[in-house]
Amino acid sequence: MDDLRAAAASAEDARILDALRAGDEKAFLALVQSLNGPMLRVASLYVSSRGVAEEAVQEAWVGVLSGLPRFEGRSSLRRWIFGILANCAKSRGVREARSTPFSDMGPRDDEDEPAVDPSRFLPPDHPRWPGHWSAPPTAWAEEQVLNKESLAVVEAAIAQLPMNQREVITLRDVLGWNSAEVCESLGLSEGNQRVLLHRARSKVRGVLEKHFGAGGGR
Amino acid sequence: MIAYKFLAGGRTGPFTGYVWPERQWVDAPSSREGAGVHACRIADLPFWIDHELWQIELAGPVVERETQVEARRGRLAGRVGSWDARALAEFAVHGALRARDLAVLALGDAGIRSDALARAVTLQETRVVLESLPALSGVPAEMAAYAREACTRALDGAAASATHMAAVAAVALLGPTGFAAERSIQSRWIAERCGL
Amino acid sequence: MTRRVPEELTCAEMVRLVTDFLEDALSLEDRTHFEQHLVFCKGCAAYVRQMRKTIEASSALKGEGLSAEAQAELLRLFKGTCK
Repeated sequence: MDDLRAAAASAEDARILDALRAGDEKAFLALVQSLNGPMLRVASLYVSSRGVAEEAVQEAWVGVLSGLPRFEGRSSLRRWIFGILANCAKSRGVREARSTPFSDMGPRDDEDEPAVDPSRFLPPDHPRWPGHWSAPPTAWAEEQVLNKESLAVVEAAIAQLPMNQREVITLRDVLGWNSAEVCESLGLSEGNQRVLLHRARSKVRGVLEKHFGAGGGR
Repeated sequence: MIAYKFLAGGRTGPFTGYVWPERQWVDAPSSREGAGVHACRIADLPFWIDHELWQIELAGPVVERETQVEARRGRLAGRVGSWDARALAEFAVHGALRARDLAVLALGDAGIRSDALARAVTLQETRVVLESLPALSGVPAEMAAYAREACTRALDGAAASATHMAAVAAVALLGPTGFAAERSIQSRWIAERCGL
Repeated sequence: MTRRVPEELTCAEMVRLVTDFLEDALSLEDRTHFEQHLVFCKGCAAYVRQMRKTIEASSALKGEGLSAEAQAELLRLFKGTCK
């Protein structure tokens, strides 16, 4: 199944590349429109303002257009474009960092922070149910999870994550890349990627739970 | 092989969300071990309680494991109509009252008379009696606590939870073999109730 | 005191394993124990559902695109490149 999907994707890439090389403006605009939202989001991982992110995306497209004649299709078109983008955004981020206090670069990774407050479980010496919930989560009013207010909470929670967790959850969950794509892009092992994804998702869930518990839900 | 399968409402796989068609063969999405069609022998039923119970015909090699079987293909052959909301509620009561029975045994072992507990018929009554027991310690205290918790779960309609508690309580009283023994009592209860 | 049924997972372990479960990275044995726990534990069933909903919420985030001017600028650039 994955092979079929990969074959279909590369046929689609070949079609787009032919069109671009033939100067097809419609094909170019369609590509820009389908990718610029995700590209801005990825660029925003590495730079602090929307304006600088836009510049990085613009610069990436310049790189894409100038590289187009030499692109050999060894990776997917999308991977190639996002690779160029990440380089552009990261080098702008480095330039920014030189003139920004370090504390503005987001929190450090927090290896040991538990996904759920340990006080919500019964202690290991509980006679009947060690390690079971003492304060179990209660079901959310699910129709509210996708409303504007909740999505703003999710957006803010992701923005608060340490950089490596934010990268992984953005690519995996926000943009919907699969784990192989994310591992390749970020140079992570499968296991490492999963650990970062776990920490990120757990924290965003925790923030949503607080939001609903505070009267945001039901 | 004919086996059984619990599904959530609307013939929905509880973990995959897959909606099973009726009477059509379904192939496992991949040949990887664990990704096949899962089903229950009668002894496995208490582990996988859900709202709908179906008879399922399995084909291809069938792997039998501790609490489930796995096949390459499966076909829902027909719903077990007697497994309905009422059966589920009765199964919950069965679990809670079994936990009560085990508590009565534990109290007896400790020389504590508990006629009112042994005679209680409803869950509410059982819980009231459990709450009015004199201060206990050790195994009797734990067994009474399991029984009380199982009553609460059963009153909430949580059949899988109440019956799981009975099986865990059996371990507290009888040792490690208690769990399988209690699950076996439960599977016989289901088979009898549903005429399997 | 250890747990009564050693092969069962505790809720604290369920919370630690939830991403491995959702990513289909558990061993067959762990997966079976994970699923069995979900059958009898309402709290963990709610937890897993909340994780799924959280993922759904992340995937529903919408980003803004480039401004119309920026797109027009790119198109000019494209025309220039293809000459």
